[in-house]
Formats: sequence, C-alpha cells, structure tokens
Amino acid sequence: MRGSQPTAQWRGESWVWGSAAFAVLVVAWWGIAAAGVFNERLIPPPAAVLRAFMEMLASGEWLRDLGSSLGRFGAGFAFGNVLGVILGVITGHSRIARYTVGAILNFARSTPTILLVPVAMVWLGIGEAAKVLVITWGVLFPVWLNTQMGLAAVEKEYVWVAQSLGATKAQLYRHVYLPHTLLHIVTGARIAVATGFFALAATEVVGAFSGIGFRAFFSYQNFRTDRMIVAILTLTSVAFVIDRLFVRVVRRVVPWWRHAQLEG
Amino acid sequence: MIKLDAVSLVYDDGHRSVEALHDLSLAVARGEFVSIAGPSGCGKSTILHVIAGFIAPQSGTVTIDGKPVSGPGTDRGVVFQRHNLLPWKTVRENIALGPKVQDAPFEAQTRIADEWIARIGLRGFEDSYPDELSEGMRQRVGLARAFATDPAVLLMDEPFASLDALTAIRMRELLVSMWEKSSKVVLFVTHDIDEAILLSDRVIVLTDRPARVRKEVGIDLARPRSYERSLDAGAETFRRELRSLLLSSSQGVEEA
Repeated sequence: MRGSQPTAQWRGESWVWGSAAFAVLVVAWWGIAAAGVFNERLIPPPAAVLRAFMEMLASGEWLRDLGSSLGRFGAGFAFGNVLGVILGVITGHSRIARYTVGAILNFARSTPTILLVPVAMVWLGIGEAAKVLVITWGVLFPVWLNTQMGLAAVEKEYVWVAQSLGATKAQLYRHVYLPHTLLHIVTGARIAVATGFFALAATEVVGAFSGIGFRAFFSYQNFRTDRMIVAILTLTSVAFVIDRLFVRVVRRVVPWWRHAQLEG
Repeated sequence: MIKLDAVSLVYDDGHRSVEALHDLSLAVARGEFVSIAGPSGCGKSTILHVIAGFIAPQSGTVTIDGKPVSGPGTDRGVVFQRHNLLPWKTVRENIALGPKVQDAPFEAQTRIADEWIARIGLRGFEDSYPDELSEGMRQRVGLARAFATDPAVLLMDEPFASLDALTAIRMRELLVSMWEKSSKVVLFVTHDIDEAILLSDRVIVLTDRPARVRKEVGIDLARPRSYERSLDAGAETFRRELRSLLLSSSQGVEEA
C-alpha cells in the first residue's frame, strides 16, 4: 500500500491520456471516411459501423457469436493451461524430460498455429473439438515454457536461504519453488491469452458457422466492411478486457506481484 | 570451531573447469568476527558456500565443532548481497520463515518476527513486501532473519556492498551491536578494506584464484569502534597493510 499514491495518480492520468488518444483516432477515422476519397464500402465511417453493430446486437447474432467464441476460447484456454503446467513441471523437473519431451515441444511450437486448422479439421471434423484443439495448442506453449522456467530458474540463493533456515524438501517446494513457479505460470498464462485469441481467430475463419472470427470472414465474403470492422473490434476488445481482468485478478491473488512483470 | 583443512574445489560445468580453492586451510574460533578479503573472483564466496554446505569440495575437510559439514544446516545462517529475501513473502513472513520451517508454534513465529522487526527499526513495515523496501531496509530484514533462528555461525557474503555509504555505515553498526550481544561466529566476505577493519577481529587475505590464504591480519583495535575512530592512525596501519596485500594479490587485475 505504501507509495501507492503517486502510482494511482499516474494511473488516473494515463487513463485520461489513453482516452484522448483513442478519441483522436476515431476523429481521424471519421475525417478520412467523410473526405469521400475512398469508397464508403471500403472505409465505412464510424457511424455506419455503429449502426451495423446495433443491427447485429438487435438480431442477436452478435451475442450468439460472442458466446460461441468465448466458449471455445474458455475451453481451449483451460485445457492449454492444465496441459502446459503439467508438461512444464515434467520438463522443468527432469533434465532427461527437458532434453527429450522438451525438444519435441520446442520443435512443435514453431508451427504456425493457423496451419494446424486444416489438420485439426481432417482429424476431428468441423465441430467444436477441432477448434478447441487448435486453441489449446496456441495456449499450451507459453504456459509450458514459463512453467518450466519457473521451476528450473529459481535463484539458487532462495533455495540456499531456505535450506539454511532448516527447510525440508517439502517445505522448500512450498516456500520457494511453488511461489516462484506460480509467478512464471501466471506470466505464461497472460501471454497465452494473446496467443489463444490468435488461435481462436484462425480456427473460426475456416470451417466455422458461428463466432466472431466467422462473422468477420463471412462479412468479407458479403463485402460488408462495416460488419467486418464490428467483428474485429469485438474480438480485439474482448482480448483486451480479458487481459486487463487477468492483471486485476492476479494482483489480488498474488499480492506481492504488484510491482512485478504484470504492470503495463 | 570452523575448520577448513586442505580444501580444494574445482567448478566444472562440462565446458570449462575453474579451480576456485586450492589446498585452502583456515580456522575460526568461537565468538570471532572474521573477514575474508581478496581480489574479485578469487573464490571468497566459494569459501562461504562450502562452509554453508551448499557445495562440497572435491578434497579436504570442512568441520564445525569437529563435525564434518554434509549440507546446509540451521547452525549456519546466511546473508547474501542479492536474492536474499523471498519476494513473495512479507517482512514478517521472511523473518518468521526459520521458526516456521522449524515447526515453532504460530504465536512464537509471529512473536519472534515482531521482536526482530522492532529491533531493526522496521515497525509499520511488517506486511510490506521486499520490493516495497529500500535496499538498506531489505538487508536489515535479511540480518534479522538470520539472527532469528539463532545460528552459531553467521555467513555473510558482501551484504552491504550495494548500499549507499551512509546506509552501509548504519548497517555495520547494527551488525556489530547484534553480534556483540551474541556469541556468534561471523564470517564476512568483503572487498572493502575499511569495512573489514571496522568489523573484524581478524582479516584473512586470499590470493588470486585459486584461493589460498595469503596472510591473516589480526585487527587489534579496541571496541567499540566507530566510523570516525577508524580513521585514526592505528587503523591507518592496517589499512596500508591490507591494501598492499590486496594489490599484490591481484596483479594483473585492473579492478581495485
């Protein structure tokens, strides 16, 4: 709590500045659209996009799309985190696992997620399973890597201090390895929010009949740029809000993290 | 009390091997405050790590009260320069960690921690996390945590090296006052000659790597010593001697 005054003040200021920047951006957008240089079909003005949004909201499709997207994301994010933590604990613990399983995972994580979409559809069809699989894949790697690092990269001084104070092996885990690793897992999970949404978009663009990503692509096919923009802004906003929420939740659950990597 | 006999240690990471200690012998008596000084990278810290039981030497023996060291133990407390406090624990939790892992009852953990917090002047910071404290406050907590389990030996690895000059002076005074009230052995690694003179009964000067004992200098200055008095003529003799020893130990090393 101490010293939070200036930070809070600064945060307030940054909020004002941030909003101003966005306002300028919208005005610029409006200006470009109103100038009439470009076809309104290509760059619809903000008002047209807002109108499209109201339409989609009224017809219920916006909420339905959002629901299916969030459902897929939630499932993939959960699976990816669980799997990532399990694999990270294994490869973080055992050097042999790091050299074998770790090597395979390191190779696999270089695959562009979007290329997995067709493979997942071949194996699992165009249902939800294939989509969740792709999102799991996108979420898995940052969580795995960070968990492994959290376990393997504990500063030796922390371990030594605890041992000198009389900590047993189990106490060492409880007081040193676990909290240290938790910090890294949370970092990994936060990165995974971004990679997960990337995977979500990739998997909804082809072989989907609902979802925000589907809506964006479908609107492209119908040349409805306004609806396309609604879809893109929706997904962007959702990813942004989830990231912010994440930071808040973590700050509460992991109070000592206030000034650490989660800032910004 | 602490005895190292013909200790040799080679670090080998598979690519490169570095001989840190070579046939090193030294002894520290009960209640003594001994500083270890030497050129940077000479293996000063390694000596502490060996005594603490963090690493085992390839040859030679390390004993505490005649018992060979086989690993870390609660009879030897440690204070590091960096990564000392657990960042996920508050001031109180850090100090109470020793009593906690030694299964002291909860009331005792809190009582001991709060006593030490009062003694190091950090009342009001019980629930602060290390990153909310200044460097000097953090090292005070580190000291208190080491004292809280009342180890017979205190191993300190340049604990005040990253503090500003004024804070370092205060910390040294605090350490000496805490040490004088106890009968602990303190083994204090430093590269600061003035610090060594101000604190120690004896300074062990090491050679360049691999470390051997180059010379032991007894600092027979009256206590209590103060920063002002350490500028006296008596201290100046030791300062000159230690400086020339250290300089000739580190031939070829530019760093002072």
